[in-house]
Amino acid sequence: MRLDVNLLDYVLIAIYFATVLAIGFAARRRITSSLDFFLAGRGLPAWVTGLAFVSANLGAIEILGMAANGAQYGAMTVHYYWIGAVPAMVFLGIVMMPFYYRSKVRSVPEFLRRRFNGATQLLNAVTFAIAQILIAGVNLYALALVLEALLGWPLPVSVVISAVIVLSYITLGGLSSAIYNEVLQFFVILAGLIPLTVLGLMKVGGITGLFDRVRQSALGEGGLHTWAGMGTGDNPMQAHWIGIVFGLGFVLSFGYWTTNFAEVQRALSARNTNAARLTPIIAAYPKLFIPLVTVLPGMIALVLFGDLGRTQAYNNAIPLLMRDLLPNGVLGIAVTGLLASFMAGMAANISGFNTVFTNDIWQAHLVKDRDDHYYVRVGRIATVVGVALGIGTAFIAAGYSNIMNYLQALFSFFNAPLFATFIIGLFWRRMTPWAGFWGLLAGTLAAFVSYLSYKAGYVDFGTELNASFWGAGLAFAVDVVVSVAVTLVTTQKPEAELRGLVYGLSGVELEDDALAGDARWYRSPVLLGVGALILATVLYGVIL
Amino acid sequence: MSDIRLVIGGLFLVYGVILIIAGVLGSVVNLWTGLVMAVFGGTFVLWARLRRL
Repeated sequence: MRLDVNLLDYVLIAIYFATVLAIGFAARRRITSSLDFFLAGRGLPAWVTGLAFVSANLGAIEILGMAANGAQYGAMTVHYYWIGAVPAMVFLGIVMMPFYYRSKVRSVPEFLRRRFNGATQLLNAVTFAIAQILIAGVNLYALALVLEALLGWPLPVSVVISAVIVLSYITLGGLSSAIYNEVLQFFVILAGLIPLTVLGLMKVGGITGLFDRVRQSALGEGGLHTWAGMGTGDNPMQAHWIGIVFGLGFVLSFGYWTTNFAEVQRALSARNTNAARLTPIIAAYPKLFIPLVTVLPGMIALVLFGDLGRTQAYNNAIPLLMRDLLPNGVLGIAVTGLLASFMAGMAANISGFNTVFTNDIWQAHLVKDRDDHYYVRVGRIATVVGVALGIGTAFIAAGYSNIMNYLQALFSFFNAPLFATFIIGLFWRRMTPWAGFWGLLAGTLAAFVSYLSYKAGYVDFGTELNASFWGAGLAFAVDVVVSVAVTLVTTQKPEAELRGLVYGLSGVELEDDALAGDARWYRSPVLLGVGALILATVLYGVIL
Repeated sequence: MSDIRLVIGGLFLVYGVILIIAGVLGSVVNLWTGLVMAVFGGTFVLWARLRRL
């Protein structure tokens, strides 16, 4: 399937990439310390970090994948957003962010060192760093596949070109460059997807026309509901409400959104505690409406293209709509949006990687006590090495695409035990440093083993979706049991060292960093957070 | 480039103008998208001008 792009489209694409690089160069001039490079100087307003927070998760795999799910499962795909993301984002903002931000840590592993010990930090830093490189490689490979299919570029060329662009703006401008580009990318993606959705809806006769035609499609009436048929599993996903609520809505989603450093890093770069808390909550609002430009076009594609899911892969839903509905010009914007989202996904992985590698592996365990400039340089070198490893992974992925799918599914399990360790560590001050380490290790291994035994066929969970619910749930449970058991036989940290890191032990020496205007209602994390939850409930009511 | 709002606004203004021209010469879809993008870009530039950092 080839898109008919012309000179006009390429001009629009070129303008975007010139802007991206210009942002990198401009951000470079403002970098004087490692704090500038790794955390954008902790000076960004909440709307910027909030939009970057959404964007970091709005990779093209996500967009194409959710449209594919929309075509395959229909309206219930919104569970990935309304119960599978928004509640966890609100929880992160209201409950967890004060601990992260006020402890002045630079990363999630660093928080683990402060709360537990260096071993826990290293364990998490190493798994995170490896995961980020592999995921960046998978991203790069997926991007190259799309470029090859849509524009006819040879795979190696697109891998190298895209990697070089991401590399240049992150090495130049560090995290501020990544974040500014994510904000820009957010709007460009919408500029491509909104016309696509509007034209698609016009073509199928509006919402009522779409619904009528979905009823007559392979999905049938079930494709138009979110919770109906959830008590019996009689729905397109064959899922039970318990799996959706506890598996997707709790273990997987809280694990991903509250502990994934590639996300949390965006909030840590906010200008004060209130802005950091608002970051995921501001992000929750666009997140609520993103299904309108992903899931909805997926359903439109289902009724417009009869061969979707048969001879055409579901993943082609958005590209097919682009080909048939968009004229040259808007087509160029949509292609730019897709390219931008691939790169932002990869940039989030790489900027997370370089921070954790420099801060939590190199500086914390290998070469300590050097001056600040030294670590900025290490960060830049880590970026180059990270991208090079990503390119390597992309080429491996090109040879063994299945292995990469497995790896990605596997890493989604790793967040569940990390979340267990966090939540116990935050609310149970007795939890000991070694309980942190052994709990996390046991949980991670449990995730690994349960996934491998599912893949090898020793255990049968039915669908892939159920396997990930159960695998993550098991990893969570193992982490809890081991953490509690080890706590009972090891010594705890003195309370003085836990101040500001545990619920109920506030840091006495922390100064109030509120800015003028933070007290206004529209800057209240609790009010806006509850608002997002209410809105999610109302939206579910619209399409029950 | 001290303000990302100017960059977003500027890019959308440029995109908007190009699409409007392409729209006048050809597709009405380009025209409408261009108009919306130009208005959006203009709003961001205006916001950056009115409430400076």
